[in-house]
Amino acid sequence: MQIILIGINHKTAPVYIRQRLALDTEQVCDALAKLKETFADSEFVLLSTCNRVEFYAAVNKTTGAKPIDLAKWLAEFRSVEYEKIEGYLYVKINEDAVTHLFTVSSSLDSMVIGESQITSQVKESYKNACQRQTTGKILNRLFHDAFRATKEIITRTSISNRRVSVAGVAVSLAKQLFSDIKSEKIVIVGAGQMGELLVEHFRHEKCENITVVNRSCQRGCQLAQKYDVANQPWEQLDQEMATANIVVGAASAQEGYLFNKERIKSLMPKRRNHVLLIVDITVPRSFDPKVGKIEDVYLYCIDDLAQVAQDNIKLREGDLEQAIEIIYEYVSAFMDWFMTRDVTPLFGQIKSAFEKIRETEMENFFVGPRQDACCRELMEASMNRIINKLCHCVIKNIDTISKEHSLEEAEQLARNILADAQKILSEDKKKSQ
Amino acid sequence: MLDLLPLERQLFWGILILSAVSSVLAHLQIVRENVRYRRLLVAFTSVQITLAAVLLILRAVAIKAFPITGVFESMLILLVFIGITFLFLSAFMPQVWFLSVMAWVLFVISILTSFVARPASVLQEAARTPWVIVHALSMALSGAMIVFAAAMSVLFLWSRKRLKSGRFSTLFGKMPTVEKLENLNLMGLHLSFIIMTFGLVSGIGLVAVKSAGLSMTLGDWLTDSKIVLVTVAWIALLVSLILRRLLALSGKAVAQATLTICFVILFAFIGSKVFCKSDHDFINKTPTYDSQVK
Repeated sequence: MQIILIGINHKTAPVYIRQRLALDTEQVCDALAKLKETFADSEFVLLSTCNRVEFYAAVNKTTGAKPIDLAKWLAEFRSVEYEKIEGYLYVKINEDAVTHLFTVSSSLDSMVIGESQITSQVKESYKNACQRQTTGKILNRLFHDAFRATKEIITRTSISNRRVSVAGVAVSLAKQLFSDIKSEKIVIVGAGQMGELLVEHFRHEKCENITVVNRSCQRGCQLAQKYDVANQPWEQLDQEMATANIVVGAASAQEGYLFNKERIKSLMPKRRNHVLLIVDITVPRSFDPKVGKIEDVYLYCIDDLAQVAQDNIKLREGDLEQAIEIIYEYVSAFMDWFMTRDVTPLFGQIKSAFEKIRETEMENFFVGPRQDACCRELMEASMNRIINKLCHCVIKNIDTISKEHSLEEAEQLARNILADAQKILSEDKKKSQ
Repeated sequence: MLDLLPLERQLFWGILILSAVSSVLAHLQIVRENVRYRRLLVAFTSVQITLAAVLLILRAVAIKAFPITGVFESMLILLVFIGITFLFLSAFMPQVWFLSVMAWVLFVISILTSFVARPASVLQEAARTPWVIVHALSMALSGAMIVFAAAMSVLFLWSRKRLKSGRFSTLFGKMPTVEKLENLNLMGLHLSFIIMTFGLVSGIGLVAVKSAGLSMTLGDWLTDSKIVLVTVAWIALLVSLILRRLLALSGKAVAQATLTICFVILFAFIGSKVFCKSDHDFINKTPTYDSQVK
């Protein structure tokens, strides 16, 4: 058996090509069902996201489908000319395919490293394949190992909890201050590009109570409608801020600061000193830095957030090395199992043949006057130990050959040993008859 | 230190060693910025609680009464309550800083307990009444709550300092939210106040009903360092909670008040026994249990 991966992703293909090959859940299920009909003895998992379409298969090396057959099948299924996508496809076999899956699953191959969505998408794809019964011993083990590797990377590194954008850091800050940011009141002061980006990020976190306050009511309304949030006129700004938990400053003042310490301080009694997070993303700043000195007010400017984003990028690089090490550990363990998988049943047969030779020899020895010899039990135990040790030597050597040379050579050697052992057994039987 | 019977000493050494190992693991967790030792910490804390419970049972058998009337026993109860709180909350708050600080708190409580480790003594007759049991149990539980609130205060103040200074990136995913810490601190204060009030009322009831049976007069009670300190702590708790409600006292001020009150209560529990003269216990002064056993 061999593991084949055929795919395209955001690194190898532009979006219009990816769109042509992308499949929705129904199409994935349909494709899996057809694959099962066409290649009955093979295993398949299909992963389709906005950034990648990947096709994992475990096929018989000699009689099963070739990578090009599978690639052509995929093109045909999506009604795309194979020649048009050929240049964008990547094909990986065995260890390369395994390493790729583990990298994808742990989001190291994603556009934003550390995002958690891809892990759930891989899980979903595997679940679909399981439901369609297109997985088997090899892909089951492969995907379970991929999930284990991902879990270990998440636990042992901080790759998934470091934000690398200014807006992302602002959301993390809000989450560090408030237990449930979904229910917190968020006021976005200004409807510029950065303000919109923040609205998008907070909406992504499923925040419901967002209000946009903008000088130009028309622009504020447009933004509010686009993201289905509330809109208030500029005159209502102080009232809105008095009840807000998170304020995003995205509107600059014509001169000086839009908010000085006294203005914010005058709002605090109305707020009964509830915590207020202010994220000032304008340049020049719209909030006086002295505002941060007020008790229960946490003020951050764009430089604070950008610095954290930069630090996180550097830290992620360190984490990346650790994550890759973890992936290699898991790939190595999986390949050890995969390479000896076909030989493993032969080990049992060899051991059993050796046992039978031992039994025959013992029966031949303890005959006549030696039949009731008191040393029989001791001798049997000793022979058992010898057989176990010899079996261990044989298995270890076959294992080494499978790793250093090829699985075929190891399998051949195991079959030769088994044949010799069986020959000895049959000769012994003839003699005893 | 550790003036205990051999079996008790061994059990207590078990508690001390486990809490020391836990505190080292807690430190390693913080350094490595992950919760790799979470399961070990939970397991060690469970064993500590079990050992403390066994010690209490041994004491109960020895004095043939509810084992909560000496300072050592009260501290063991404190350890058990804080340990259970830790185990319960660790399921909901897996952040590395919470787990580590709680492990350190348990270590500090274990060390403080070792200073008041004394052999069991024969109880005064009055100490066998339900009044004493309710009083002592309430005060120990109230102490546990204030220690927990203090741990949350430390976390809150540290978080706040990092957030205010702009060095907040190290907190993400490793520290419970500021709001949660503030709420837990307040919850600890409320519970401590309610339970302490109950403890004080039962104490007053005990004095009113059984003062003749105890070896202290009413005057002794009112000037006893332990009682004075606990009363001061209770008043401070009341004032803090009222100010929080009426004047919306800031989280920082509440946290600082909590730490002060916790210090006063711990001093009342241990310091008054070690540094001041306090006769506020319910045991006969001659340690007859040793001789009984021997």
